[in-house]
Amino acid sequence: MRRSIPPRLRAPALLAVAAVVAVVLEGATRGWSSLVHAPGPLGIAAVLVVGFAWWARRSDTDMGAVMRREPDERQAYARLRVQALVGRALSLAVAVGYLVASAAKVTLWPWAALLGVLAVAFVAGWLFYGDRGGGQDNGGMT
Amino acid sequence: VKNWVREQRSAVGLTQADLAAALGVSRQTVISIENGRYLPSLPLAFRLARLFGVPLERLFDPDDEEVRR
Repeated sequence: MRRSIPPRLRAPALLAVAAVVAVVLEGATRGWSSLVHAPGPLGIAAVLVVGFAWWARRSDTDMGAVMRREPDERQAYARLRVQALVGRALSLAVAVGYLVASAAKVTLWPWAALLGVLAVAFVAGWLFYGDRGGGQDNGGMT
Repeated sequence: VKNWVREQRSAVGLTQADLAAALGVSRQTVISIENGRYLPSLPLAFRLARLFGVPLERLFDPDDEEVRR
């Protein structure tokens, strides 16, 4: 009896195979010790990211629709929420990075610069998308 | 907000994919609307109502709490 991989497991299986291939190629060409140093893991990560993007773009999913630039209104809203989540995670990571760098007394300016970018983006976001409510109440008259 | 999109769709014999194609949205969005997980925008809600030939109130019914607020 012929067995096939269930559709929902195909993408993860493909990524696992891609990761194994990347590890073997990396180890065989640069030596196995390179796997614990950059750019070895970076190469593997790149393969995983490209593989995931390749799969996602072809999938009948919300993410696939967004990646193909054809989202409907719910998918566009989902994209917005995902972007907000990513923004929050990055903000937290930058704040933690700044505190850790400050405590460890290592180079601080990159973290400070990132905090500055976040602050500017926050203010710009409210300026662009916030409604200042400056209109006049005309009591229902047109 | 309760809705009767699934009932209306079944009444006219459309599949979720048919309805999605008629509305220009994804099948997942039709499923989300039918399950009450996603509230469509007003334009999409009106498109739904027009497609089924019923007033909006026959498709969507807000909870009393939401109306009284």
